This record gives sequence, structure tokens and C-alpha cells, in this order.
Amino acid sequence: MGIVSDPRRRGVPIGRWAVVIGCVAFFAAPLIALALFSFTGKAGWTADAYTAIAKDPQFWKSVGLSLTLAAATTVLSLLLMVPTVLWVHMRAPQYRSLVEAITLLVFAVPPITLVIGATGLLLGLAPALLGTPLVLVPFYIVLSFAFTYRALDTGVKALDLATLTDAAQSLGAGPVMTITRVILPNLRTAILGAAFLTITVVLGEYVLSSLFLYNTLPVYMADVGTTQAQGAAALALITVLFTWLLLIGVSVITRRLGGGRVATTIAGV
Amino acid sequence: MTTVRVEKIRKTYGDFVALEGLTLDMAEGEFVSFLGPSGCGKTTALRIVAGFEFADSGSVLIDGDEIGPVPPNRRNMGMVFQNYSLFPNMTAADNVAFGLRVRKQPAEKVRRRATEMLELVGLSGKEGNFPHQMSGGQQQRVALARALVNMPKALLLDEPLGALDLKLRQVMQLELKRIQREVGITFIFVTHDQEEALTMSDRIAVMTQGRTDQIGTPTEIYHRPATAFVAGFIGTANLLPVTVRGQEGDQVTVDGPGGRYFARAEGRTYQVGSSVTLMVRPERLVPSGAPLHGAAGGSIEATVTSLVFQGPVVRCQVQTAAGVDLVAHLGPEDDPSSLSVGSPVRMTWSIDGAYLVPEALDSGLAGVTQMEDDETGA
Ligand SMILES: Nc1ncnc2c1ncn2[C@@H]1O[C@H](COP(=O)(O)OP(=O)(O)OP(=O)(O)O)[C@@H](O)[C@H]1O
Ligand SMILES: [Mg+2]
Repeated sequence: MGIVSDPRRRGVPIGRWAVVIGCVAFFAAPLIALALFSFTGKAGWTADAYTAIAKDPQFWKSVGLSLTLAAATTVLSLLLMVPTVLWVHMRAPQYRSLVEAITLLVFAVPPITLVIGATGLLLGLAPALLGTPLVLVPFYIVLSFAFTYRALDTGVKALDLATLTDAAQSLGAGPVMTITRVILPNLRTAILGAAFLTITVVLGEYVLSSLFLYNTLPVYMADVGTTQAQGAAALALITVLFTWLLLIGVSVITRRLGGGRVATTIAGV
Repeated sequence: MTTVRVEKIRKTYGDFVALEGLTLDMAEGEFVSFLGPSGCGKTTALRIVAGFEFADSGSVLIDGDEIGPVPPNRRNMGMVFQNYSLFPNMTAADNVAFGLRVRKQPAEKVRRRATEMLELVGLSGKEGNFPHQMSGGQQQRVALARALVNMPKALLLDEPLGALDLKLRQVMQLELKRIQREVGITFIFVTHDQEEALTMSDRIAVMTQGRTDQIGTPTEIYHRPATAFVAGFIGTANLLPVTVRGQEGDQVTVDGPGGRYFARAEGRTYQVGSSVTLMVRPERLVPSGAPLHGAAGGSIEATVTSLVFQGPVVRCQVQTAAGVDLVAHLGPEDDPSSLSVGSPVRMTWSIDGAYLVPEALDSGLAGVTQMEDDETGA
């Protein structure tokens, strides 16, 4: 390594490393503290908090509920937003700022107002929905709009959609084929990103589910926290790790899709 | 035998008339260029032929059949775009194969054709490269192969070389010509670069403001421009506003700012007193004393304002007493060394070196047209 022999270079890595270490410490310290705390018992180290959680049937119910909500929200939100973003970009660019504003609207409304207003509406439209936790899904979709829209919008902007569409059409592809073979494959990364953001929004949402009195994972976590501090810490850690796992999963899939899968199609040209 | 005909196409965007009465016939295997300044409607015309835009009136005929209502994906018109339009998620081979797969061709044929087409455009061995792994020139070659793979009725190219640098553009011009000869498909090529159009085309349609000023071979367009605009847009031209004094058979006598000139009628009949434009190309303008090929066509007193050595020619700019700038390209036989900046000179030309453009010239446009080399590709 030439670092030692080149005096000008010597200082730089040290400075860089200092920054890196500083950042890692800043982010890692709370997590480490959280982890340590979650493993603390009355008599030294213990995994009691984790075993207690694992044994609590309510925990698994909450996990199941949160994951179901996350899946439903992600699917519906993508079904709604992908066509919207494509439509806005290809057919109605004049509505772009309007749609963007609409996606942000939810942040201007306090959750309690949202719940009361929307409950009134749902009572009229679909009263059956009010009795099930699925009632949360429409809210979550609205909550995730801003993230889904932005992720997709960025992905679409990176493509020259008009030219790609024209090219596909001039080669004989109809609208359906253009979308399925050209547009969507090129938006895979953006769609996965949007899905990931939606899932994190749902897994972390507390206010609405507690207002509706449904025991989602964050609500369960808060409940546990009031009675046993270690348990809440353990849950927080599990959630963080799960989110990371998801993030890594998404980026691995993205990379696979970006090169690998297409590369395998070449073999069969 | 595929012929493409556009007939009296009119296209407006709101109040703006983008195309007005565009009419053009293209024969099988012909290389036709749409040439014109930015905004004259070249892209619009091409997109109407491709089916991406609809004309307000007029028709597009393929082999005599109106294809107005046919959507672009059923027209089998190939298209190459100015900006790189390859599908980013597909390799070069998959891009080329796309058109065949859309038509549900058997896998074996798809593979063979894709390889063949990439070979045709000189990209053998790049089958597995993704667009971002290729240079701009390579990407346009793939785009060309992709557009040709279905043997389209015509290939539409919208400034396909516009994004390439000059060297690469010249290489690609020759390549395009070669490929066109090999596949024998009609190419409709849009460009605003007159040199490119002259080099490549069988015929050029010179467009201004939504109309075609002239349609003809490069030679016709260069030597016999139909309008003052065409004269100035194709190459460099010295233009003088003149008035017809008389016509005797093939010879027309005109009066211009610096005296009396003669030109050929070229089969036309001129009204005495009508205003027309006299064009002399820089290579036909010489200082008096230099050898003239043929009978004298006229001469004009001027002062040398600049002399620039350009290798094969010396570019000599002069100003007439009336303040009109003219440019001459002088070869060795014109003895340019006898000239010096600031000295008076009588510029002269032969009767065959002049051409009458049957159109009055706006007096502000008199003199040399500003189409110098640095303009091309701007
Ligand atoms: N969708 C549109 N809406 C309004 N005006 C348009 C539209 N498309 C083109 N125009 C106008 O029509 C005219 C012709 O446009 P076109 O793109 O055909 O020009 P062009 O000859 O291809 O120019 P360039 O060399 O710059 O590409 C331009 O003045 C342009 O502003
Ligand atoms: Mg254009």
C-alpha cells in the first residue's frame, strides 16, 4: 500500500475515517444501547425479554396483522399509483403539480380529523369495513401516497418515457405490451422502492391504529412498553432489524433484476 | 415495391401552423432527406408518417393506400430517434429482437435475425451489452438494427446522428448509406445539417416554416435553387437583387447594384421589369484577370476585406461600393497572392457561373449568405 510512502495522502484517510467512525457511533450507539438494555435482566444478561415476546400469542397476532396490512396496502397502493404516475407523465403533464400536491395533502390533516371524517364517509359507503382491521388499509394507502408517488415519479423521470413508448410502438408493440415489456421492467427498481417505503410506513404507523383500537405491531409495542421496558426494547430492536433485512432484500432483488435476470434472457435470444 | 407518399399535409398546434401543404413522393429504396432550420416541421412531418401524430388534413399513402387511421404499431415503419431510445433493461441483442418477439417469431429465427442485424451494423460481439455499456455511436447502431429487423416499409430517422461528435458523425453517415444500399429500404432522414443531406441523399426536401421550398437531387438543389432561401441554406451563395431587362432566347439580361449582368434562362420566360435574384457560388466568383470558364456573365467593383487561407482554397471576402459583402473561394489558378486586404478588385464570373433564382430578394439579404462551416451541426 502506498499510503505510508506518500506523505500527502497520509492525512486524508485519517480524516475520512474519523467522519465514518463518528457517524457509525452516532447511529450505532443508541442501537447498541437498545440491544444491551433488551438483554438486561435482574440478574445479569438474559434473553428473557425475547422469550417472553415469542411466547406471547398477542405478539404473533400483531405481527400477522401488521404484515397483512402492509401487504394489502402495498399491493393496492401500487395498483393505484403506478397507473396514476404513468398517466400523469404521458397523458396529463399539466396535472403533475396537482397530483403532487394531493399526495402531500394528508400531512396537512391531523390524524384524528382524518379518522373522524373518514369514518363518517365509510359508514355511508362500506359499513362492513369498519368492523375489521382492514379499515386501516385505505388510510395507510393515503399515508403512503407521498412516498409511493415520489419513488415512482423519480423512476419515471429517469426514463425518456415518450421516446421509449414511441420506439416500442414503431416496432409493433401495442399499449399493453409496451407497458408490460418496456415500461414496467424499467420501473422495477422504483416500484420496489415504493413498496419498501409503503411497508415501512405501515409497520411503523401507531396513531391511526391505536385510534381505531387495533393491535398492530407498534400498538402492541407501546403496550408492552408500559409494563416491561426490556420487552419494548427487544421489540424495537426486532423491528429495526426486520426493516434492515427488508432493505437489504430489496436492494439484492433490485441488483438481480437489473443485471442478472436480463442476462439470463440473453442466453436464450 | 413500396412507395411512400405524403399529400398536402397540414398540421396545426392551436393557432400555430406547423405544416402547410407538405407533398412528397418517395420511391422504393430511395434516400430522402428532410432538410431545414430548427422548428420548420421536420420532426412533425416524420411523426405523421410514423403515425404518432395526426394531420389536420391531407394524407399519407403507402403503396397508394391511405394509412391515416392505422395506429403506429400496425404501420411497420421503422424509426430511429435522435436521443438514445434503446430499452435500458435489455441487451443489444434483446433490443434488436424486440420487434421480432412482438411478432411472435420462433425463437430460432429471433436469435438468427438479431445476430444478423447486429452484424450488419458492425456490432458483432456486443450482443450481451446493455445500452449503458455502449458508446453513443454504438447505441445508435443498435437502434438502427432494431428498427430494421422487421424489414419496415420505410425507415424514418430523426436526426439520428445529431448527438454524435463530428468525426463519428461522418463515419456513421457512410455507414448509414452502406446499410441503406444493403437493405434497399426507403430511408427518410431528417437533418438540419446541409452537408449531411448533400452527402447522403438521393433527394432532398428543403423545408421552411412547414412548407417544402424545393425537392430535388443534391446537384439540382445546389446548382438550381428554387428560392433564395434554398440558395442560402445549401452551401454558401452570393445573392444579388436584380431586375430583368430583357430576354433573348436562352440569355437573360438583368440590372443589378453594380451594373449589367447576364444569365441563362434555363427554360424559363422572364417578364421585363420583374425582380429576381442572381446567385453566384463562391467557387465561381474570381478576380478579373483570372481564367473564366465560358462567356462573361458580369462583374462588380469591390474592395478586399479579408483573405483567409483554408488549404485548398483561399476564402476572399470583398465589399462592393453598395456595401454588399461577397465571398469568393479562390484556387491557385485564380492567383490569390496578387490580392491584399484593402486593395480594390473587380470580381467577375462567367455566364454559366451565375444562376437566376426566380424570386425577388429582400434587399437586407443581399450579399453572401452566412452559412459557414461552424454553422453546421449548431
Ligand atoms: N406538441 C406541440 N405543441 C405545440 N407546438 C408544437 C408541438 N410540436 C411541435 N410544435 C411546433 O411545431 C414546429 C415544428 O416542430 P418540429 O419539432 O417539427 O420542428 P423540427 O423541424 O423538427 O425542428 P428541430 O430541427 O429543432 O428538431 C415548432 O415551431 C414547434 O414549436
Ligand atoms: Mg426535430
